[in-house]
Amino acid sequence: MKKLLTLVSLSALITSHAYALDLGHDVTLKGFGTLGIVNSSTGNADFTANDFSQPKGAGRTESLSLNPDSRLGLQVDWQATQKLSITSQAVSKQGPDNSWIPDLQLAFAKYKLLSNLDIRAGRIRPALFMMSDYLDMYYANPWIRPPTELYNMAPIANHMEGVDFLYRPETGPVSWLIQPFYGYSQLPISRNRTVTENDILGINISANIDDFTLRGGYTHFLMTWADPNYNNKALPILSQLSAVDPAVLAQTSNLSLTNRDLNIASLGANWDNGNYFVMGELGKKWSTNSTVLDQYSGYFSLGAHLDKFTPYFSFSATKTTNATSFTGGTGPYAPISNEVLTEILSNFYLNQNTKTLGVRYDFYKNLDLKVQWDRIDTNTQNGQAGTGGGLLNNQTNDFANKNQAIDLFSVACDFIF
Amino acid sequence: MKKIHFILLFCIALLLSITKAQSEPVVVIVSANSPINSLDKEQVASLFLGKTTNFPNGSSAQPIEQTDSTAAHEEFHKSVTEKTAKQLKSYWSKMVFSGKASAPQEASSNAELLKLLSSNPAMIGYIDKSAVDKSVKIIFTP
Repeated sequence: MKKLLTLVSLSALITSHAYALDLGHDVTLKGFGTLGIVNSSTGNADFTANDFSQPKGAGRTESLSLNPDSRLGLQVDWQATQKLSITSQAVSKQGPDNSWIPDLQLAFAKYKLLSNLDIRAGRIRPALFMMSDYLDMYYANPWIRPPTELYNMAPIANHMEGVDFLYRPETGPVSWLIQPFYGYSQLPISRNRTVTENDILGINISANIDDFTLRGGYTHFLMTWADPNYNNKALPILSQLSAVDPAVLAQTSNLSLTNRDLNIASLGANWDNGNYFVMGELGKKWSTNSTVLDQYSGYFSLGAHLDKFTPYFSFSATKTTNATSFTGGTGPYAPISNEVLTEILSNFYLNQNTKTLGVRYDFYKNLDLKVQWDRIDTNTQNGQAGTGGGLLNNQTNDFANKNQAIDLFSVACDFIF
Repeated sequence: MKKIHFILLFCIALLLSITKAQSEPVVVIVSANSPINSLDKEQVASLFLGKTTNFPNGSSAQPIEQTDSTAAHEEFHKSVTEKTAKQLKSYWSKMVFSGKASAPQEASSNAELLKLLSSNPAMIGYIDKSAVDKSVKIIFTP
């Protein structure tokens, strides 16, 4: 932690001199970072910016936390030839094991096949949503952090081993980016879980005309979770019940965490004329499996560029449509089957929305300061116990039994060099 | 014409002359040895936003920026890419840290820009019209 802070301050010093450091031999060093602190009004759960990878946040663990937003990234680019370049990027932030050991987020070779067509191979980020490509670099956002409701939809937003193409045709006034990608990913996530994604296949298409950008994407993959908690607690009970109740047996593959098919589609738009901006994104996730959230998420945001100040407002929300209860138990054990399966399914409900109000102040060349208030409202499914925790982490036992309202107050300083 | 009208007109004319004096015209230039003789606004904007990395004849192009504190930078981007310094910074930070493209090299002064361009026909830059010399040629005037 101390190391991160030293690095942040060191980088901030460098920032005042240059945009990128030229190391000679066509190698450049670039970096970005955020030092951010969050205060939460609840002591019964943690707010984290990423539900999957951050074990601790602001609220229950500590009332003031650097964990959700602070990060530091360094990127080295080597332009080997006119057509071939190598990029690597390491990011230090709170990891799933609560360490701040830098993680290699990008490590790829890019080759120019045609004047408007590049291929990249290695460790890349799958472009699921509009900001997935640069998710850790908060400097690019008007707000402190990308809306958590949409950007927590899939843990694969981090990185994958794979290939993508960047095809940039121009048709009249429209510049296109057509980016198909394919890959594989295995990432540790919080609470000793590991998520493996196979056959990630997707496409990202964006069209830009002057100040307006429209973007759409679709991704399909097979997801497997290694979750010790689920495997040790839920699975033994499920297998016992399966032996006595055929209705539970019939749910076995539906409740499996292995090779679940998953689809994500998204549509986004961004308009920024230099004086005002309006942007929004909608995402839909669906699967044939009950242990994957069928989910809609989205946000809408607007703001004004008033010289060095950018005040903004946004509204973001997520709604899950999974069944949260089970009533199909049969035979003498039917009541137990129904209770156990309902308890498992009640975890697959994450409805919440956030209203955000804040201001960004570009006070120095490549440095900004942001102050933001968020109001998070979580909802239960018709009052059902266990469904009301939203995206919050480390909840106390009864936290998810009712609707919650949480106020967050955050301050962050971002830089790039 | 009443006196008050005259004073009003005078003030408008004065304002116009002040704003005009402030923004010296910029021109887009390449080396005098370059085979490129003219480009249009869209072609120049594409090059300076990294949307294309080739001249229309297929040869490789390397845009050179002026630092964003200069009047030339503001004038060029206002009229050609139509982006503010803030928008450009956000745009390039996204391109660079997503690994999609690298930001153009920067020249720290008109003299450095002319020196760079005169020795490399692949380079393209912009400069205050009054600073143009024989080592370069104008291929676009916004």
